[in-house]
Amino acid sequence: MIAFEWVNSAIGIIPVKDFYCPSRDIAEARTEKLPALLVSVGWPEDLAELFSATVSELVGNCFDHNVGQWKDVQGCWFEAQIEPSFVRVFIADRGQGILTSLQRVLSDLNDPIEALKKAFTEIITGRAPEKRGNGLKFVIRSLQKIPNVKSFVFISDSAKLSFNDSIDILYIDSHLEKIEPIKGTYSEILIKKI
Amino acid sequence: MRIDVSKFGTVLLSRPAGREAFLSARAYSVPKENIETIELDFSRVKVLTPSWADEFVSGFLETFGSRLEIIEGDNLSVKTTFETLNAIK
Repeated sequence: MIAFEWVNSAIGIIPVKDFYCPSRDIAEARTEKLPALLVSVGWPEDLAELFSATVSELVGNCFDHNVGQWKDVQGCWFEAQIEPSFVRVFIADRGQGILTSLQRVLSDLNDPIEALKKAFTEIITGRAPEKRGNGLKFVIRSLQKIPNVKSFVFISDSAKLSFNDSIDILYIDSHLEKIEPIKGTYSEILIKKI
Repeated sequence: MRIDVSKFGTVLLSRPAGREAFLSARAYSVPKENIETIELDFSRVKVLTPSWADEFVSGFLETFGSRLEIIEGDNLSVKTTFETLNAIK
């Protein structure tokens, strides 16, 4: 089973041990190993550290917004394929998704695409009154600094945001589309050899 | 006074960890009296996220306001984190 099948599945299934992070501690411990793994396949240290921070924000979101709100399986799928020629990361959760989270503070919001757009472009969080809502902006800013990002995909509910070759948030509307709904959130980053 | 943030770890990732680091710093790293300015020195940190930084720095901001100074250093994840946080404020 791959990450997208897992987050799409009608019934929640516990992922294989290598990819399953049932708790934040486990996810964080795996993220902490990323810089050294990336350096071992030839990445410069500064980019390895920046990419690890990027991944950590995506993994952290799975827990920050879903603890106590999981649809069935708690935790997240976190898979990193680290090869000399490419790095591909998959992160998914079967949580409440961005639309439901943001509806806590924007009760009129009911379009998953609009919710995803707000999450990536506005300072907003479902965890108000806490001052949050900068993680996904950081993800974009970081990926713009990392060379050879071939694709970045982020899906929540029935909204899909995808970039190929360049991460240009200025024209975000042209990168958003409606798809069949998934059970939470899913993200995928592919970077070719640095 | 200056606080070397790397004493809380060189890989600083999650919100709960950032919050815990702030509470520990407030209890043990900051003298109770006669503080003119606090410098948070991130120059020896290897990996920093906005989540960790937000929890840690926000706590100090509430207490010290304009008497707080941030030393970013050269690390790319630290610089990108503060670019993001500063763009928001």
